[in-house]
Amino acid sequence: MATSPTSVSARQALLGQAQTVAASFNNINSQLNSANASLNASLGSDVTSANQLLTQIATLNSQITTAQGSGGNANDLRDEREQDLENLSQLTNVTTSSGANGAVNVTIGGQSLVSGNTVNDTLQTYDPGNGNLLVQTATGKVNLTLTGGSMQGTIDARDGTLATLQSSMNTLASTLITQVNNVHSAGFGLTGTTGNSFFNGTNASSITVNQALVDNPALIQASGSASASGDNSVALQLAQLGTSTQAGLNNQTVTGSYSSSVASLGNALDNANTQVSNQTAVTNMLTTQRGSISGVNIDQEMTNMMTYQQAYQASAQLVTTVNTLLSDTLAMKTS
Amino acid sequence: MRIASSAYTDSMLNQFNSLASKQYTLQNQASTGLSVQAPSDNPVAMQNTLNYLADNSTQQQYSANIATLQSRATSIDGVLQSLQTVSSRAGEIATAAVSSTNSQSDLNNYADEVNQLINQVVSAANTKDPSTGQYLFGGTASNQPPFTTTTDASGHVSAVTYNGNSSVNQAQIGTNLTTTVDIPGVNSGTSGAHGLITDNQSGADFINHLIALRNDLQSGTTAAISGTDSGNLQKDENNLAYQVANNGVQQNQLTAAATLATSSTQSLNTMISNASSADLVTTMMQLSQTQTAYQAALESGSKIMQLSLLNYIH
Repeated sequence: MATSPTSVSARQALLGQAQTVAASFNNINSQLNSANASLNASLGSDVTSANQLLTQIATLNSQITTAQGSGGNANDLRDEREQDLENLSQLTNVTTSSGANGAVNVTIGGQSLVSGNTVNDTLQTYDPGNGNLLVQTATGKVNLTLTGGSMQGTIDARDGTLATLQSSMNTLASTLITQVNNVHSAGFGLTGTTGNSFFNGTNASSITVNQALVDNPALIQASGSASASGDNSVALQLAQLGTSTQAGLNNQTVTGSYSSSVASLGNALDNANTQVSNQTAVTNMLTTQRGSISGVNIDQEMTNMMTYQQAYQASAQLVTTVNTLLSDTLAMKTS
Repeated sequence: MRIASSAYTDSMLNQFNSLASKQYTLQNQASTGLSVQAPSDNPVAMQNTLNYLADNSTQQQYSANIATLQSRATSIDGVLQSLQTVSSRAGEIATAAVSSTNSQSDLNNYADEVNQLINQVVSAANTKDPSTGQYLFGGTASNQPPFTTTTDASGHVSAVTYNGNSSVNQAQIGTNLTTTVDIPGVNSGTSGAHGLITDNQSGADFINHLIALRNDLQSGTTAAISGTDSGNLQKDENNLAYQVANNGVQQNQLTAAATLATSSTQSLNTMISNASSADLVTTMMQLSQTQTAYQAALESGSKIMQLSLLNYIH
């Protein structure tokens, strides 16, 4: 537009591009909000699952205590409880301690939630005021500081990477709005109008192109003089904003700031993927080690079974031999 | 180490997943030709690619600006040449008119021709840019004819009024590089772009000088023609020569800037390709290796998982 400041088609092209930029900001913001809502929902779902597991663990504690109290064997129940504890550990960092008669006590975030057969308290989400849910005990209303599991992972992803990206996009949008409007509002339209903003809104969610300009491209204030509609000095300043650094963007250009935000997100994802890979390897190793102690090896079990079978066969053979001897002895006496 | 039977299946599944994921990534790279498809694939390459794409877009805009300015410079050059022809003819008339053999009738004929020349100059000075429809020589007040004329009783131009200004637009043709090809019709100041018709810095005032010549021809004032008028027309001639030379310099600058922009675009395209394109030979080799490993894992897994001591107890 700087080379053809009075051209209506150039003005329409500029407005089209600006609307695309504004819509992209709106779209990115909407997607980030959806991601935030999804993470909040995921946290709520994890809390529900954790509460179910706490109830199941207390119930199993009761069944195990009863079974062992009557001299019975509660191995199956212990396996089931172990599985529940593992599932709970995936949700959050759990501390366990042994209780009376084989019961297990469960503590989360320093709060004792299962003690023997009793569920002392459960978990619930709460809104600290910004819409980003956190976790507290349902009855005691004690806010918990979680240290691991998918619950804290969800909170970290939402309040860390996602919040940073949202903030970057809002800063980028607000800087663009402010800088463009500062230059544009001082210019003059084809009919000498002045003072119009180019963008409306304040951040990524609200940025739009001034509808008055869309309706009448002649209102774009490209000229630096009210009496010279062919002047392009404001259009030139607007074009040069693209390559000038902005203090509000850490002295980066608008496009530089955007690519930097994308790279930061990429780094965060790359780190997360690497950590997932490393942690999966550690988990697999530990699972294998645990399996080597507590798991079933068919070869070993079959070997043991064959040993006992052979011992049984030998014993049976001995009984048969003794029986034959006794029979023969008795036969000698009667004959 | 004692290995639980379930460890085989867990381990195999992990390996299958890992190899299948690697195959998926490599196959995607091979089919799209891109090694970076998401920011997490290679954050640095992604950032560089985005920066290169933005730079490339800027360079393409510079090229578009240059093309527009070149078109305008060519239009201006055409006008300058026609004005030079007029100026040259006016100089010839001024020289021929002072000959003692000329009668007043001859001088009147010359005056009629000068009237035609004045009309040609006014028409040329009101030329529009064919690409934008704006007047070329009105400065930045380009939406109205820059020169309007006042005519006498016989319909001849007696005076001209300039409706434009002496400002010119700068356009960006490179990083921190702006230029202009515009010429204002009049510049009465002591700085800035020289005016096409009237310019204080060179003393040019082409239309008024032609009007003076015509008037002197009509009145037979040959002394003024050979003195003042010829001197003034020489200033106009010099001003036009300056404008032609300046236009040539600007066109050369635009050509150099266009070459630079094209070269920059080509370099950026290469850099974008280097940063984000997949090396097909390497990718296909890696894909082949991964496929072999995946096949080996499937075969060994299917064989191992079938076997236990149970197979040999009858």
